[in-house]
Amino acid sequence: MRVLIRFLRAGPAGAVEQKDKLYDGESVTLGRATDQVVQLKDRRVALAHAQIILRNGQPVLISRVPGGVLVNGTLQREARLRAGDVVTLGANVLRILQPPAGCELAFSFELDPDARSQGVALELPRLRLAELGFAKRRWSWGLFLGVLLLSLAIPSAGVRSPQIQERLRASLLPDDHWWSPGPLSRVHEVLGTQCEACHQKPFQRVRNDACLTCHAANLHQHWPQSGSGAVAPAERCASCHAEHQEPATLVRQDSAVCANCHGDLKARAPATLITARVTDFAADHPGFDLPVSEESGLRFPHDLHLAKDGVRSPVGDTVLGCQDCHALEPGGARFRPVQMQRDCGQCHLLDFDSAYPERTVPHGDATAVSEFLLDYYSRRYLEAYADPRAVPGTARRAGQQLAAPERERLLRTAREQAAIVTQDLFERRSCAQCHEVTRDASGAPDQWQIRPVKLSSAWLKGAAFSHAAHSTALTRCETCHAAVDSKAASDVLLPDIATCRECHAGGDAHATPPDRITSTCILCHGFHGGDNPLWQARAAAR
Amino acid sequence: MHQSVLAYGRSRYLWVALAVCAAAVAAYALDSPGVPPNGGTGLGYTLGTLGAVLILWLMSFGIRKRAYASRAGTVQGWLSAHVYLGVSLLVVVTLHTGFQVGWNVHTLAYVLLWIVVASGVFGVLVYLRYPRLLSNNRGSQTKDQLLGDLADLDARCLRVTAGMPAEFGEALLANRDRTLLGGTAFALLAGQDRSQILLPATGGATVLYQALPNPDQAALLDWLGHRLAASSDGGLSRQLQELLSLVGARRTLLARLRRDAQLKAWLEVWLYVHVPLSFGLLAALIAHVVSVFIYW
Repeated sequence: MRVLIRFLRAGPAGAVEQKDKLYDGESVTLGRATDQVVQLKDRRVALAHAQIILRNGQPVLISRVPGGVLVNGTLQREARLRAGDVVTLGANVLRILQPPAGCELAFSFELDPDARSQGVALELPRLRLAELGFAKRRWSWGLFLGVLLLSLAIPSAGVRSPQIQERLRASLLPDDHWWSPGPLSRVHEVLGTQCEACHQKPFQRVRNDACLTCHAANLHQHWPQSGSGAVAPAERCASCHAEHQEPATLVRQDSAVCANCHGDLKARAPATLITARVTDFAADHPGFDLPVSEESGLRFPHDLHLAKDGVRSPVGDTVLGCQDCHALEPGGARFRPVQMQRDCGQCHLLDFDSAYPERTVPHGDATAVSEFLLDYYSRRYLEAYADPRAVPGTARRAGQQLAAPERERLLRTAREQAAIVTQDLFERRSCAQCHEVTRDASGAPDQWQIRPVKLSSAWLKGAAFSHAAHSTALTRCETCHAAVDSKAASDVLLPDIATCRECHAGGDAHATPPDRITSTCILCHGFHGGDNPLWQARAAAR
Repeated sequence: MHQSVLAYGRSRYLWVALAVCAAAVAAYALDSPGVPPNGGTGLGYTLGTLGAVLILWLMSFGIRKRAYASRAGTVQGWLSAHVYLGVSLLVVVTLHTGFQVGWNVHTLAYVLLWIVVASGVFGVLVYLRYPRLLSNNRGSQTKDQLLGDLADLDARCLRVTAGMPAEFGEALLANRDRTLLGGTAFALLAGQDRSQILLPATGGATVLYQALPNPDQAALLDWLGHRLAASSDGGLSRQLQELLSLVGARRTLLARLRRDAQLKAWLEVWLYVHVPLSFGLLAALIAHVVSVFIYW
């Protein structure tokens, strides 16, 4: 827009000098700053005080200060300007004139004669930050008090009053969650932001009572056998179970808690049955409490079954591996107990009659075997029986009635045959291969007794051991179990502690060689009582 | 003889700070608390206490430097220790956190500490470099002397224009009035020249005025140059040449003033972060310690 600005200046002897300037620009800005089109040297005028723009061809004055600008004596935020209007800016007066041809706006600009002496002094340039209103002291106080209010005063108001607490948590104001040093572990997520669930009293450490509110009272029996059933009095749940940690580990991993007592248990608990001193797996741990031999009641040479050239089987010589007989339980902690039919039966067939090799005796009950064989042969002899050893021509036709003496003879023969086969099975062929069989003189069906089989399903019950966790690229079954050379079922094929120590170092992570695993007490042992269901679940899970 | 605060006492506080850091790192490396490292283990409490004591001592520097009668060591020694131990605080406190951070008051204190220390390090760097630049730029003149020179130049310009057509007087007056020195923090720090000038557009029948940006007097020098090129009047040409050399001197002087203000602003600006945020840090530290024990 093109603007005519008429500067009026009082000349000598009261005459008014007039000077016209034509200005061209988007808008006419008025203010004290140097970038204003009309620069008003008056301290009462803002740096950017007002602006005149063209709206629909009409000049409009827009105030750039909140109070508005005096137009014809009244404060206005925005005013359409017409010829004759008077705009007062501090000591300066603008009179809107009738614009000449080619101009959209014309105004005269004069300094109020009464105010001429004041406010026109040149301002010194502000060349220091402090001159720009920057104030360290004010900002310091502001920040200090602001942070203290938001981080301490407001959240602690909630600690004092549950009502305030509730309101704070519902509002955008900071509550005590702002103090939480880290997330809760997943099992405690259910507590949410209810800090007071555990932190029951200000300035008091979390007490065991808080834990026992949810957890069963008998959860923390560390000495079930001692009868006291109590945790050592100084122990807090939180000394092992530290919350708000990242990475979240709810269970303390180091050995110090255990070693404190188990380094000299007699002194701490005189009634203890545990005599071993234990402070570290590598340096100070007793050997495993294993029997010299296992009394399973079975005969089983591992070496024969694992022979390199294979072992005899119904389908010829077969090379067997551990997994052909042993399979992991779901979860991978232990192996499922070996079962005869499932794990041995493929090779150890219980057949007894070469004419009917698919017929087998039942497994598991000696008397049942005797009775089964008697039943089997009686029926066979009374019916048509293709006994290869029978005299030719004795086979009968179906439906033929037998005379009583003939039946008696056949049943006697059957009993004799059953007795022979039964004795053969029990004492020479099938049963005796694996079982210890004894026989009394009664001649009754239960005259043979199989020594009861006792398979140990879990050794080292005081420790959690997972086969799945130990199945690595470097380990094989024989790494720990010397089965290939074992000749007798009585061999206890468990490794000793030295074998474990080939991989497992002690509890001090800093002393662990690079090819070993730091092993603290908690890696194998649980703290809480052995009859604790939670502990058992943990043992099974490992 | 001037000695850098970094070299004070053969950098003895550097060695103290290094010893503090080395001890903290060694203790951290050797410690196996059984839980993830955090501020609540034995070592965590130790490092936290050390950090809090260091923060309080570092902040007491503000008192010591104003205590002119104090004989507790020299201020230079205090500043040297302030710098080195302040930086070592980063190591001590980082180990105190156990590298656990989150959206909480504890991490707020930690972040504030980083900003305070970083601004302090920045302050050391500008103090090592800028005072020399500042005195080189001033050439043994004070700021007020430079401003006095500027006023002289302006008066001489106006004297020259008194014998010239009115438009030159108006232009030089507008140039004086619309020259901007400082004014905003950004202008100070960036050394930015936001000066303007109101000049009549050259050529055409009607004289049209326009507000033009005039950094480094460029618009005015340009306008005067054009006038000189168009001038056929020997007297006017001589006056224009005189004006050009005066405005050129003014341009150099303004640049020096701006550079002076800029260097001084950089020497000061970090303190506007360092000091207020250190008080924010003090508040966050109090909130951190108290809240930890409220919810022990």
